[in-house]
Amino acid sequence: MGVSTGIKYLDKVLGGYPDHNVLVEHDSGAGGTLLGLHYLLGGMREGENVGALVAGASANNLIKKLTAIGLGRDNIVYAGPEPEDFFRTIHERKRTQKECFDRLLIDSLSHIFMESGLGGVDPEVCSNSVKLKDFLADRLLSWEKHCGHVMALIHHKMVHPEVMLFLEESFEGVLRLEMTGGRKRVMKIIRWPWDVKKKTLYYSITEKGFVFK
Amino acid sequence: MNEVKRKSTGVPGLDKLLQGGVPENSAVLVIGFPGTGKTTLVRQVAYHTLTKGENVVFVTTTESPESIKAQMKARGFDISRYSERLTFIDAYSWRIGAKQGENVLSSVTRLDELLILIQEAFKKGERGVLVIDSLSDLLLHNEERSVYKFVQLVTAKAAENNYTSFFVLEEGIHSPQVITTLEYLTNGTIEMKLEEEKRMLRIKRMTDTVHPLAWIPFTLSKGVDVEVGAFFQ
Repeated sequence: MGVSTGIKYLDKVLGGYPDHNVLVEHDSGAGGTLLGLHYLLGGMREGENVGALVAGASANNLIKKLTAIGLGRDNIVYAGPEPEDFFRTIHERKRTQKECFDRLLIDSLSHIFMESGLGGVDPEVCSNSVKLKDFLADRLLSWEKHCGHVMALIHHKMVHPEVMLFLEESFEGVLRLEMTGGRKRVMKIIRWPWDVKKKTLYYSITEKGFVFK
Repeated sequence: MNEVKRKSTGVPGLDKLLQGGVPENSAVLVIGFPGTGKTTLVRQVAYHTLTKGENVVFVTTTESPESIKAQMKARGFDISRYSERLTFIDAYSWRIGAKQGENVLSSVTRLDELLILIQEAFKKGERGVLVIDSLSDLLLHNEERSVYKFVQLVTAKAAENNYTSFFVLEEGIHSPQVITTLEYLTNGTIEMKLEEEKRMLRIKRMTDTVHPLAWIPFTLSKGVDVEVGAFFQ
């Protein structure tokens, strides 16, 4: 039905990821980046050309992890610390068409919202939905039109809920990874293009990766 | 095999939960309501780092360095013999106009000045621990975005100089967005709470570390003592 998630259990429950774009909203420590790494590994196992656009505070740490799973330096695009760098990088790569990856991980959108003020707590900025729509249509999702599919990660609690709603509308699939107050982590399927077997999945993270319960 | 270099916290039980300690050069938030043991924990980390021959840069916004030294001595953490490798940056005394001088911040609103003082302190010796107790004071006196930028810069500079950072944050006075943003900018979070007269902590997140999410009891006597035995049985 969809493309491989890189995790057998998720392929079975979700029927794979939609063949377009998926937004993963996550709490800190809930395993967003790990889910992204599985997404790339799933593509690599099927012989796809996979890539990662990294940006934000933990970029150096992330690059180490991507290299560790076997991603070549040419497949890792570093966007730099400022939002302008991110936009420019996407445009340049699209123009040259050199890195037209079959699947692309964007980790993460969070710093754009933090730096640009597109999210945050300012109600005037938050209501500026047109700006956000344009930003997504012109810059981010243009990649998907020309290439393969995209998984974008975001710390959703950094962004105003109203803005998150607009953001969710631009993605075919939306997953949310949450830390509960106790010792559990939970994955919620917020939006999906087809019916899924379960809407809520509990999991833990071990040395071997995701373990669903 | 775990190849990540780790920095011991000086709390054996906590180190065990963290596969040996927090990853070196990372930045860790220590979050909890007042009185839950955050300050004791970061002071214990500082003392342990000094006993291991490494350096400590300690930014205090809540008490004077003299008061901290006296309190630590009373708990059995006498830091007076390590003064060559310990730098206090006094971000407290400005508010009572008590003194001016080396490593005394003119105002807690001067984040640029604070960054310079921290960078100068890093030059005294490579490798160690940076403690900021507490980040909440910086957030209360500055624009949030200025503090985010400060945290980004200071964690980058700390990592460059092989310093692991610990930031104390008060729970209940900052919005969830502020806490999430600070978590995004750091590598780990240790939460502390007091429940029915029982002290508990949990590792909410820690980069490159597989850890339990459970709340683990601990006691405060001379310092933090984490009871991990029951968890591992």
